[in-house]
Amino acid sequence: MSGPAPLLQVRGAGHRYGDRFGCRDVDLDLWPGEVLAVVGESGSGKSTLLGVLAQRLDLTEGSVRYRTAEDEVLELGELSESAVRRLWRSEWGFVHQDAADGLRMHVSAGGNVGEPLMTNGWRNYGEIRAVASEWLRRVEIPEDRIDDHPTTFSGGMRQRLQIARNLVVSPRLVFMDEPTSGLDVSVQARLLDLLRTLVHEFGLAVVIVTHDLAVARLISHRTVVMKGGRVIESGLTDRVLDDPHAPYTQLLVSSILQG
Amino acid sequence: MYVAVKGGERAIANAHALLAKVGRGDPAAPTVEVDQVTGQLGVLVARVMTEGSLYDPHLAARALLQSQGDVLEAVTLIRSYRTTLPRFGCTLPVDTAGLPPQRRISATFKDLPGGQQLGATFDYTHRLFADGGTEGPPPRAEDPAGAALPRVADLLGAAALIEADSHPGQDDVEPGDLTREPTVFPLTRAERLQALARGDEGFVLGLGYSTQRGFGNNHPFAGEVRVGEVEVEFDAPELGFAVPLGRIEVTECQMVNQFTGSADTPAQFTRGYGLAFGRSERKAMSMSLVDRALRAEELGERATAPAQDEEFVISHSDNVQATGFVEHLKLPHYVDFQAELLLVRRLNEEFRSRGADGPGAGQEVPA
Amino acid sequence: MNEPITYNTGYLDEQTKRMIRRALLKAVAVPGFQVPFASREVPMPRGWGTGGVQVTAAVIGEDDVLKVIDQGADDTTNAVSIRSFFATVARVRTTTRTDEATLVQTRHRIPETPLAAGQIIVYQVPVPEPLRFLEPRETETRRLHALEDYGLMYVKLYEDIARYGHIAKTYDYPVLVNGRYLMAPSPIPSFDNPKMHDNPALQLFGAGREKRIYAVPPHTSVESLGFEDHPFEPQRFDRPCEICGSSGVYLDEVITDDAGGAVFVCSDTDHCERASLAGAEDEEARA
Repeated sequence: MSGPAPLLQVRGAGHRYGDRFGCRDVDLDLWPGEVLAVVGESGSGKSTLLGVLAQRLDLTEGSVRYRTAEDEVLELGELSESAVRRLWRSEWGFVHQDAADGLRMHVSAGGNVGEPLMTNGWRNYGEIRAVASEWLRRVEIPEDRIDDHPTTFSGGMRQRLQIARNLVVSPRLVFMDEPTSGLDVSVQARLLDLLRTLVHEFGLAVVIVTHDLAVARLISHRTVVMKGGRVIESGLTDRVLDDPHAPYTQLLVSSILQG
Repeated sequence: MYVAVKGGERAIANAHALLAKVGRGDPAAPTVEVDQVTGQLGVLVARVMTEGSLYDPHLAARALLQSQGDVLEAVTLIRSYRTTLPRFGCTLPVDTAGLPPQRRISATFKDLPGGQQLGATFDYTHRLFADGGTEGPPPRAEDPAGAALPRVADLLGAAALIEADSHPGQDDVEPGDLTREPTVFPLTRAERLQALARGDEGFVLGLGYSTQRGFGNNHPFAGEVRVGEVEVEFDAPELGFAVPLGRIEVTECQMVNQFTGSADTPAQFTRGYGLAFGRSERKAMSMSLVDRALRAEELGERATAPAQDEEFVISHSDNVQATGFVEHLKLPHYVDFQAELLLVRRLNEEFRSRGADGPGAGQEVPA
Repeated sequence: MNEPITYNTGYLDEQTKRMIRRALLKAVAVPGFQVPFASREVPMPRGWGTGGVQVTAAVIGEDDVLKVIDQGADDTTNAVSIRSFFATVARVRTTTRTDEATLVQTRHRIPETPLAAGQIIVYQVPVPEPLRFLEPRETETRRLHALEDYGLMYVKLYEDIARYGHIAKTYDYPVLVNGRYLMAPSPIPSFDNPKMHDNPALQLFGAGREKRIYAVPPHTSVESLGFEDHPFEPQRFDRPCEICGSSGVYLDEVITDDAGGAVFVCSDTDHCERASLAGAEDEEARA
């Protein structure tokens, strides 16, 4: 799954809240088309790390470099607000844990999926609607719901709509914050299955934060384990979960088997 | 054949004449004089001055008479006039502890230096209509409190139990003037206080009340409510000293609110502040509650309630703006209404013709 | 005894006029961009044209000839009130004829008579922010304009088409000015939007209550938003004015009886008067 150069290169990244560090000394690389799971318990710093990578939190230490579609390497901490906004419009996506945070709840499904296109200058109603319709099909939302509002959708359907809204502009990198939490187990499984298919079909790189090792197992190529704000283990997902080296990872893995 | 209606100018002139007639009331009754209003309707005059942002009891009274008792009309008159006045400079900040207050009470201590000075207040009256006006037994001639009374906030502050009046670097040393600069959010605390001072008493009261009912509660205690005169001194740098211009009556409220603090910083009470012209306790107290609510973000509190939403509170606190926009709905809007009628009629036509096509005709217009 | 109170020519003091003119210059330099200004109180209520009045007061001179209209008519009460205000405080000549005016202050319409180079039209604006009802926060809409992020406005148009089959905005129809800024043209009917494009006159916009000024310099591109397959369509009337016979003009519907019977007459009273006169002269000439 490796391309010629990493999409995301993180060195010594850290974010400070007052006196405490939310995360510290994080090194990692992400390649195009690769899914990286960031796992840990609550308070481990995984959400902070995601926030830093997605430019929602300031980088207090270290560097985060991103390689654009034009093969330009950008130091994310130095970008202007408009440059960051441009990345969000064309190359990045963010799937929130609560779909309501990532959707316009009082705009129709078609409008939600069409908006990124319209923001990018699409000006043909028929074409926008056709693409939106196509994406609803891809995420298995019945096409006759295209004019309905997400307030009338189930949790799983809202999450799938959020995914469609993020993927419609063909991003290269998608951040996901516990996208399956709060959903029924069967709904989770279906969602993960869908994600796996889409990741493969569109060659997406994904950074997915989750406390659930099963999610990491099902969907990610590599896994990074966090505790107390630091990365304590990383490697291929199967290796980390089948043969954990760090004692904490061993604890995490074994507690699942017992649960 | 339809002939267009004309005569708007004449209609307006007649309307003004009728307004003057209605406003005069019974021609046999004596006219109300300005000094009767300043003397006997002092609280109302104070409100017009506070919301008009101009201290001039005589002018405020005149405005009330011209507006036939419509407070917001009076405030509009005052503000329209104020805007034309030339500015010579600024005064020094007034020292509200500088002169013996007419009234000073505190809810935070049973007794304090200078005592609880009730002053002229409605607080303990029985709200029954009294014959012959609000006359009670003549007050005993008491010497005015000899010394100026210390502030409760200063007493607490001496022991560092309450946050300082202002924090280093909190706001500009030179506060902006809301009436001379465009409102651009986010505002500084000084600008918010200006907006609240001239904000509608009812609106600020309602918001303050909402905090007490749980919409952003900040556990207030009335540290001090003070009514009295303060000295106004004009700052004249060329002279090297300040020139006293006279005295104005103000009401000040210092609220003592929910304390902050953590393992690393000492616990301190926080503050809310209110200041208004004349006898305006309700306004000063409400203002202090809302001031404190709007500091939520600064103090690291979750801002979830309407009173804590700066854009919402400040955008809608100005009653002259509010009534202007609400009442402007009386102006003709028939051109835009006609445009809406055109669309609605068209949509209905399309709906009917689709119905004529039979059920199943989709709502969607083909691309 | 009440002291007499005097006012400066044009009501506003010179410093205020200067401040407003500076804001106007900034506005003209960046077409369609909302410039914050320290809106003053003027002797009429907010929402009744105080922004337009301040702009007019800042640019008016004793040589100007002023026309004031509301709903297209010179005779509506608000227009009468504002016109007499300026006649008093600025001592200018006033007129009802669009072709005679150097300065036109208007609420909710653009005159039917085309404007010429050298004329100024001042629009009264209630809500200057075109995105306001989609995003109530000013801190956010400012950012959207700065980043040229207007997707939200197109989403609204999309939703209208999905729901009604048409864009449902009939007045204050959003426009893109000079290819850059999204602007609220004020509640003129969409019928009038095409007049704004490439207009030889200077177009100034004043929002007193919201404290914003903006402008469209002469001969600037003003495009009404739409989709390629659902383009902007100005509304049309399919009948002529009952009084003067003009067609292709905006009409007022006047209810004439209890059964809801109506006649349709020109909204622009100056145009109607002169078209009627011209019509009558034609008839005389032929007779």
